[in-house]
Amino acid sequence: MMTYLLRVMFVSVFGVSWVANAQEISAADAKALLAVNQITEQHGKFSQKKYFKRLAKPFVSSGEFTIDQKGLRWQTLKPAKSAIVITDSTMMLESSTGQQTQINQGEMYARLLKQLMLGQFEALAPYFAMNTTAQQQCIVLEPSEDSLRQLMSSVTLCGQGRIDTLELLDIHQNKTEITLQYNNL
Amino acid sequence: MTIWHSLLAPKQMRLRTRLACIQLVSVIIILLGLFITDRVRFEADILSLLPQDHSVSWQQAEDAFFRANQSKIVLSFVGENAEEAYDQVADFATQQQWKSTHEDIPSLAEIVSFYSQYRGMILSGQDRQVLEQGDSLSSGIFEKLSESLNPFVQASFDQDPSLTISNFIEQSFTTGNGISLKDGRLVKSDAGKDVFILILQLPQDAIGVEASQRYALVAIEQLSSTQSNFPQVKIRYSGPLFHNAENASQASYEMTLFGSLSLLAMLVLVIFCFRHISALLAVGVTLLNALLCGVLAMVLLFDRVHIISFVFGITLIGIAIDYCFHFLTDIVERRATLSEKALEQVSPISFEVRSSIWLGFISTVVGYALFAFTPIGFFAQVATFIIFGLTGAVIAVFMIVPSLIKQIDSHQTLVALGSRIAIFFKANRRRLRLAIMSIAVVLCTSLWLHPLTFNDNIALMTTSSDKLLDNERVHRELLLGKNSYQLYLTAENDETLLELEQSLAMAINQMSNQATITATSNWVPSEARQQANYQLLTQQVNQQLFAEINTLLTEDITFEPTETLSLAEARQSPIAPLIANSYFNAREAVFSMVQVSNIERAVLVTAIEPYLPQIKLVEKSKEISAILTASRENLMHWFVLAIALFLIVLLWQFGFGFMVKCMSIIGTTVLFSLSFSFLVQGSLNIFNVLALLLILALSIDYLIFYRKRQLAPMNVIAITLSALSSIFVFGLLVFSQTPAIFGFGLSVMIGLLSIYFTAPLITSKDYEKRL
Repeated sequence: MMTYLLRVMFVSVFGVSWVANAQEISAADAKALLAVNQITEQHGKFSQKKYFKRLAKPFVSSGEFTIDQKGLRWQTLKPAKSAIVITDSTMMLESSTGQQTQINQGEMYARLLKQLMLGQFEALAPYFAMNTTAQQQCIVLEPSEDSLRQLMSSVTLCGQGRIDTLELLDIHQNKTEITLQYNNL
Repeated sequence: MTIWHSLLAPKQMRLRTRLACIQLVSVIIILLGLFITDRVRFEADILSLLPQDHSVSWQQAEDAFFRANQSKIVLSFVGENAEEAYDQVADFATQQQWKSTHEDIPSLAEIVSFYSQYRGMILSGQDRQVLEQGDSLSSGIFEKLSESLNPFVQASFDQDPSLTISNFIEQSFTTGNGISLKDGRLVKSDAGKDVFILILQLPQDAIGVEASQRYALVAIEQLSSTQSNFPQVKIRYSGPLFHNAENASQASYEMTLFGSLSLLAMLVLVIFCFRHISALLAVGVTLLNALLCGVLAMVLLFDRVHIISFVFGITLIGIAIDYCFHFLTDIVERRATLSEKALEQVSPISFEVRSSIWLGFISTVVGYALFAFTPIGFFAQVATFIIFGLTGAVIAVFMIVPSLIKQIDSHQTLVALGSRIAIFFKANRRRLRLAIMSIAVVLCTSLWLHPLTFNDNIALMTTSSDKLLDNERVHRELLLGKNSYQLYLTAENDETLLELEQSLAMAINQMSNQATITATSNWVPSEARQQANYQLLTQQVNQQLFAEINTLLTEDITFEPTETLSLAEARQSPIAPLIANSYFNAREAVFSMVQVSNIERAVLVTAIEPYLPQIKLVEKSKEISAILTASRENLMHWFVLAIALFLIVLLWQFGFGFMVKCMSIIGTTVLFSLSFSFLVQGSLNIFNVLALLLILALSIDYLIFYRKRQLAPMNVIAITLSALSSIFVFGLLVFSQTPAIFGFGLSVMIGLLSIYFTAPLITSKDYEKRL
């Protein structure tokens, strides 16, 4: 009984403190909190884990990414080769055979990924409410736009100086974790 | 003495008048009855004039597809604060209860949930290709799972880890020409800028002539207000509503202006010449009886009366009024020369005028009767309208008008004016002939160097502004893409129709892999294809080609047997809005509308050729232009035959010499009318040829009257009045903004002036010595 009560107290304290710590902040504050710099060029590797209810274990993919003046190139190398190339005006999907297809419908979401990776909070501000979390150096973004709400529940960005991890939670509580490793540290 | 002769006797005037009045009243009653009982059917679609292929009811399908879209308007917003401008207009539309079409589009979750019932039946083109090659879908699944943010995968993976449904839905959305939904607004990226598109469905009655002007005014007022609030935003609007409003507004303005001016001029002319209200009454009754008889005959003899027939038949006015003027001027002349007692003893109309009217009437009727033999259906209606209309005019002139004009006195001023005009013609006969021949030679030379050309483009009939036409073009590209075309497909049933769409899509993609095809079968594959898809997927399972992905799943991928999705079910389902406006069931056949973009016309035509006549390329403007060309060519052939027939009548009545003179005068008139119109317009069209109908009919009358009555002052006055009335009614059209109507008015004016000055040359020099 005592152990049970202690557990409840433990969870309550930390739960309440978590709630007490979650407060809405502005884009500027979010940028300051993660100390994100204005990055124009970056490249590195990524590791992605997808958690779906139908998956017995996380689906792991990995690859490389490049961000420069032209846009973002997200190249998946394992388990299957593909790439997404985003510029200001287009988004192309490159299959394992090298075939390129222009994507229209998912374009908005791919641009979103680029903005999340770069910590472009000003650009994200119209679409998300930003909150602090118990975890330091992390921001939780909750969509304020209808079409995004249909896709995701929240996005958690963590890092210091740059975004190191992204955790996307969809409306079915399926999770996607992305870890970024930069080459030019 | 025959009944006819006794009826024509002067003392039987009262009887004749009564009979004619009974005729007039009867016609009015019958027409009213037909209109009230809705037995009168009007047709406004110019395409119905084309020779119909009765085996395929394209017309029904076109009507249905057009009706679905005719009350829609498209608005676009681009620039800074475009979203706010969009929202302001959207709020206004909501207040007006104008529905935004994308409100009906189901959410991705709803679409996934719907198609999940048919898992195993639905495959994207790419997946089917992979399966048909015997490859596994696993690598494709891994690729899709590797995408960080794919809304289709996120929405469907838990229900369908094979991602066949996700790929199918993604493929169908991809053919939407790049238009997506962003925060509840349709948006498309165009040249790096987001263009927000608002498509509104107005009430069905908004497309009527008056209603369209009302709704368009309301819409444009709001857009102007929004524009002033957001000056940085470029706002465009388009849709049939705005075209109708602009054309109707211009037509209404011109009809009011020209109608008022014509009416005023006619009133002044008739009152000045005959100095009594009864003359106006006589003209009014003649025209009324002519128009009513014409309309009644058309309504009784044809199932559907085409509005165009009225437009063409309105030339009746110019001819009918001619008869009345000759009668009125004859009365004036006789009252100036005969005593009251003598007038009571003789026929109300002189033999010369009566026989001339009859000869003119018969010649015109015989000429117009040729119309009945042309393959263009509405020409028969025009012929009917004019023949029966002229009959009504003759009845009115001979049987009603004499009773109305007892108060009309001799008018010495009018007689004197007629004499002065006659003397002018006599004195300048040689100069006129020389001038006319010189001009004719110059024109012939000019035509030999630059032959006449014809342009029957439908654009001639519209007065839509350049701004609206440009908006239409921009929106068409935004919504449908570049080089976009519409096709209508037909089949006996839904399954055959879907199969046809799929075959067509395959044929087009083989010839042009850039082409995008929007079709019902994008959302509802044929049942045969669904069965084939199921077989392919079952094979994948049996060959354990999902083994790799299955190792990651909590349970293996399987496909349970399920019912196929039928088009009827789809049309009752949440995805119905996605296919609503592209399908039509006409009971005896079913139709669908397919949009193809990013393809050259020649390639498309080659692709659809094997499927004719089940497929029709919709090019309405070209079809209408084709009708106008065919109509014009028919009209010109008829015109030549009519002239030949008229000349035969003249040969029979007046001899060879007179016939030759008439031939040269008519030829000169036609030459002047067409050549000068060509010089002004740059090219001719059917409306210039239509003007010749009126010119020929008037030429017949003028030449016969000059032959019979020579330069008698009141004959000259009657012809002058006829020419002036035709100028007031038709010549004012030269001020119209509509190119077609301008061309008609121009040819009428030139032809009238030409025949007015050349017809007197037919008179005998012996008669002129008496002047």
